[in-house]
Amino acid sequence: MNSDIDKIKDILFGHEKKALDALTRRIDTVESRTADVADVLPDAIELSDGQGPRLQSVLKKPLEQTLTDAIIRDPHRFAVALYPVIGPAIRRAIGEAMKSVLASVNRAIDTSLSPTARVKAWRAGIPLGEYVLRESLVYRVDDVFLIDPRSGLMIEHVRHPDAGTKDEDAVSAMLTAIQDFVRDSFAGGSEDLNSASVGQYTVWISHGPYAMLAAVIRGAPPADVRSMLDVTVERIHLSHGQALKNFKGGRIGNVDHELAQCLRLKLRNGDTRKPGGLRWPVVLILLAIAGLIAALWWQSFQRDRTLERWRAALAVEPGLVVTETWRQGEQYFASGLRDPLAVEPVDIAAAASIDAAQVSVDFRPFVSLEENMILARARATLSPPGTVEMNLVDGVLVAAGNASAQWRARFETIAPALPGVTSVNAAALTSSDAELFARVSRATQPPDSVQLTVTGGVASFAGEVEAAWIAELPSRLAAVEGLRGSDLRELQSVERQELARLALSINDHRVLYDQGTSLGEIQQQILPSLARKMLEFGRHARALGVQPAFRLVGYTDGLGDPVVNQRLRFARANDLKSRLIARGVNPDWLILRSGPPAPSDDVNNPLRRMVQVEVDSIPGM
Amino acid sequence: MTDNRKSFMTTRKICIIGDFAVGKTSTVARVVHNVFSEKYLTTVGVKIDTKELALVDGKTMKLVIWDIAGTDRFSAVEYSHLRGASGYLLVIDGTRRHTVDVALDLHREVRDRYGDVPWVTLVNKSDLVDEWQLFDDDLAALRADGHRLFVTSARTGEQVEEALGALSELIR
Repeated sequence: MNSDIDKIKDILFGHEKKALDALTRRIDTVESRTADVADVLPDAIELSDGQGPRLQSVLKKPLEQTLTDAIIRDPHRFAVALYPVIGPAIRRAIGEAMKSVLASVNRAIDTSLSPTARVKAWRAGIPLGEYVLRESLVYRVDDVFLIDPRSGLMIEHVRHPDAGTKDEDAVSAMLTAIQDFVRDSFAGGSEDLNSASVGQYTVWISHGPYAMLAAVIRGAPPADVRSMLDVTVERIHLSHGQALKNFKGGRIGNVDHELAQCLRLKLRNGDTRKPGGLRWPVVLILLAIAGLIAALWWQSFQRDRTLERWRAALAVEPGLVVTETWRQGEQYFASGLRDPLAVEPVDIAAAASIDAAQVSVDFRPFVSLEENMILARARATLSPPGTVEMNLVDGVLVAAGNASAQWRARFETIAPALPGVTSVNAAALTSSDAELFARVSRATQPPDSVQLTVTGGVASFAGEVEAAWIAELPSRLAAVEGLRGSDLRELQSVERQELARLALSINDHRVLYDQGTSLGEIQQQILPSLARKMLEFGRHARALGVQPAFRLVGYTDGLGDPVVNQRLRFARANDLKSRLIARGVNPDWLILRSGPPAPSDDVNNPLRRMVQVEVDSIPGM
Repeated sequence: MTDNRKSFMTTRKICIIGDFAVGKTSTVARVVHNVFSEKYLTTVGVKIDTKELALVDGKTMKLVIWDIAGTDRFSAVEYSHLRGASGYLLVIDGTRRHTVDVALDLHREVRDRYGDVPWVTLVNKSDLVDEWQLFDDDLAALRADGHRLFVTSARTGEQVEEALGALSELIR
């Protein structure tokens, strides 16, 4: 049955079946399948190369593994194989490193010889060597160009934010033109231009098959920047190889961030940073702001100090009670209480170096009981003459000096009513001489015989006057205010003068006796007059407060017995005493004395038979 | 960093070639952005200018113009400057007939080296038309050979913008 079906199949599908069998054999046989794949593999790889990175990614892992295994198994073989590549690569790296070092050294030498560098080093306060080292280490990648080397067209470009602007398309083209020029003119058309230097700028170019990477560097870049460029151009070729190969103009995406990695900045302290750090204009602005803040602070501080000075000056000023002081900008304010007699706060501001236009004050009036203000008010109210000085002692207003009676009266009336004055004292207040003269005259009413003068507050009297008037004088003068003293030495009492006159008259009297104690008639007629004088003397003396005393001195001639004569002298004195008593003379006033005997050459002189009356003494005469 | 605006801008390299003293530099000087001084022409042998142009479709194209120092015969170095160019301006001096021959030689050489690259031809010094040694027949012959002709003035910059615009449209 089956053979029949097979026959029918042969008839119907014989040709196809043979082909199917052949295919099945070909697939089942490993050798034939391998031969087939080997046949198409090169074409397949070539086709895949133009269709994206899939092939690379598929092959990457096994290839890496295989290579790793192979190198571990037989490293010598790989070393030999890589020798022609590694040798030039190492030489190139060393060459670049040496160039970098040389550039740094050259720059260091250049800088160290520059007077500017010395000045800068001096200003920075560091040794020249350190400054040079710092300067040498600074570099910055200003521009990075990715350029199509065939057309010179710029593929991509990035720039450091601080670098200047230039038409990057034109720069790319010019770089390429210069490279072509150098290569074709000097290098025989085989070597690429790798670096160029102008002043502080270095252009480093890293070449790839489809693009070159040119970095414009300011300063002396280290060799690792070159390595970085090489790595970057390789990486860009790896990721964008096909796009670079087909580049005709315009841009290819996502390479700018690769280029941006190359924008390096090496700072003096050795920090390598991306752009965007603190730059000198920012530092300058910050310094300016800091300076401004400092200046403002200083100004504010000074103004606060000025305000404080003003506040302190106001606080010690009598008659001012400062409740508040404040400041707004350069305007100064104060408020409180002010005695109208106190100093204007604005004037005190001037003393604190504040312009009057900058001051605003709000002071309400009040009466201050500070001593200075009480005195000031007393002066303002009483208007004392310049010769008067006033002081306040425990509430007592003391006036001293020379003033009119009118002012004195005013002082004594008004001053006690002033606020802060408990009482007044005018004891030390004197009046003028003319006024004193008038007052003393009024008080004493001196008679014409008396001359009054007032000098320096002292009243002087001269002349004759009744003793009773003189006696009343001290009490009358005491009532004269403002009198500093009195001088009565030139003042004589009338009584005393009379007494002197009477004394002279009495002393002239000699009562002459006849024989013994008998008195002649004439002599008896004299006695009443004598007694009258003595009585008058006594009256005046007593008026002056003096006890009158008269000596009765008896005398005799030289005839007769001296002893008898001596008795007779005393008896005659006693006789006159009796006669005077009889005529009203107080016996207490009379003192009996015996005179000396008569001299031998005058024994018979009748004038020696007598009693002489002598006034004993007058006080003050 | 890259300006976003530039992402949408096409950049093309073009060259200016022609005989010595036909006014290559001065002709474009009035209409382009002069980045480098003319000193480069005598030192490096090339000077780069740029020019941004609005295309007919509203897009912008930036031309990087390589002004190649003029001699009657280019050396390998001069020709190497043409590498990667999208187009070129062929400049003739209307008052010197000889410059047409030099231009045509250069034109031929460029095409031999770099293939069918778009170009426009500038017949310069229109302001000195009395001294012209070229006539309508000559211009017609050039047109017949495929030259797009622009009669330009180095003094006024007349027709230069138009010539650059026409070339831009050809190489966009």
